[in-house]
Amino acid sequence: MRDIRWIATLLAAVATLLALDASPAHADGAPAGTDIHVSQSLGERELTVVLRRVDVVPGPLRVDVVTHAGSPAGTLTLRLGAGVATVRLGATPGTYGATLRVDRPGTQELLLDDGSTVASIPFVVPAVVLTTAETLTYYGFAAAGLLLLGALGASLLARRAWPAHVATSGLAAALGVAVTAATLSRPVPAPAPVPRPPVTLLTSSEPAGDGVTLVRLSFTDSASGRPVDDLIVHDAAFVHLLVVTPDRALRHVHPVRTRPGEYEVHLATPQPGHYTLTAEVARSGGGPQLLRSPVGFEVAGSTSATAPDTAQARVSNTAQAQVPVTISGRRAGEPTTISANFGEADLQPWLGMVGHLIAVGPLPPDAPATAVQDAQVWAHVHAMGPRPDIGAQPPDESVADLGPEVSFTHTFALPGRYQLWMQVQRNYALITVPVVLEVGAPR
Amino acid sequence: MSPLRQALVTLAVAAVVIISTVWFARTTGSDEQTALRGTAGHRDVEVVVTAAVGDRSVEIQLSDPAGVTEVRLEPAMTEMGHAYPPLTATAVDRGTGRYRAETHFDMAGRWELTVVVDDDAGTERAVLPFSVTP
Repeated sequence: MRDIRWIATLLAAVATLLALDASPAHADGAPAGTDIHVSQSLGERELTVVLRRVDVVPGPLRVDVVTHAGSPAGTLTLRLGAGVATVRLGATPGTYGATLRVDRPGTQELLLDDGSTVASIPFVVPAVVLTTAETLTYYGFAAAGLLLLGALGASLLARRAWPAHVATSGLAAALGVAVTAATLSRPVPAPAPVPRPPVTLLTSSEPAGDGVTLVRLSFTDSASGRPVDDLIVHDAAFVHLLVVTPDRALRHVHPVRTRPGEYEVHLATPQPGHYTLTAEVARSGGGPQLLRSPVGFEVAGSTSATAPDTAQARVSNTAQAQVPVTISGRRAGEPTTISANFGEADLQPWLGMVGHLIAVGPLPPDAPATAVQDAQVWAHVHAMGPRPDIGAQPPDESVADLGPEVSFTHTFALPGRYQLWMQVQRNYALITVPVVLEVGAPR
Repeated sequence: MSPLRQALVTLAVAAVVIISTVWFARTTGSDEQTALRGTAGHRDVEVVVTAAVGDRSVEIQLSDPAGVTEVRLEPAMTEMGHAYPPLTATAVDRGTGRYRAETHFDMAGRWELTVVVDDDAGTERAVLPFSVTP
């Protein structure tokens, strides 16, 4: 009888240890996904849609919509499967949100409807995949727990010794299976990225009201000619469309997906003349690609033959002070560093970066507006901020502590005159600083 | 119980527990059929297929069967950029939105099945990526 009590105490101690061990089991799995930030130029609004990470399926999906300066108030309808939620966007820039429900893992489509355009954001809710070793660990520990209860009951209640003996033998075996499987278990390897053929960009445009042009982009696979529907979010957008206007200003917008391989954006086009289009996309596993449209589009009206040079740095947003720009290098084939001082350290991350620099050239003097389209060099340089720790979420736009110094380094391959635009975000407004740079002949 | 019988009972129980745990873990969660979901215009599309190399029957379910004039299936191997000739899906039961097409996956890797739905309003596509196993 004393022996039985002793065994029962020992088993109770093991049960406590197992119970303690049970809780951190799910902590071994990687967090189920991360936040997804997608910039969307929907109608006349420039929005950042943040899909917060989904922890439990089925479970809630929090969608935050960040509006920017100049974004009118209104309502936005969000749809996910059968679920519908309405977001009331205020007149002041900031974050507005709603909560939807995810009922299954896998590919999903979030629809954003502003009343005239429906944008679709495909995203993936990761499924929890267990290896055989992980499954064995879970089942082994579960069997051990049940057998432990059986052994406890048998040792306290059974008159004979063999039921407790059988249950403890089983317990030892189940623990052996679980511990061995846990030791051998490896996390599921992420699928290796597979290469994809390059993308072909086709563009078309049509007038869409007073001073507005609807630009449609169609992405097809250069090998099969089929629509490309595997574009992934890179630098916080599916498509970065860079538009150079007839007066050589830069517009950086993010067309919305309307159907597989089809994207569109409403562009304010007040000046008549030629608009140049360049798109940056990334296919799943394919890396980012620069797609320069060989045609651009025309807005009818009388135009001047040449584009005005922006001879010195100025800020497109007149509420901002002049931005001092310093340039070192200026020689082809050697690194040139372009730095701008924005005064206060209150810049917000834009598309995940402190700043973006677009450089086009070399451009001949008195070049026509189409010269940008024919330029040999088209560069997109990033000014990166402090990187988050591995596994940590990068800060979103509500964190305004970047700058004031923003610098870019690029090696210009050819001498000549380049048109540069620096872009940063402050107070939810995009600031574009145009700079004209003369790059000298190589040594 | 003699020590020998005790040892035999211990071994037998251990064997039963190990074999049943391994068997249970192996059989749980193995699912031969892959369900793919997407949208073509306003319609939800669900495709069920065995994603392994060989001759395969593809089951297609459309959420709104009204007005559909034709459903086609366009298989493509994404990493090669290799498209296969389109297949016309046949209606399983008229008016239920169920269609079936027969196809052949000739190699393992990343594939796309594009379901093309023609109706009175035009053509809509759902592109469904998945992996074919050897």
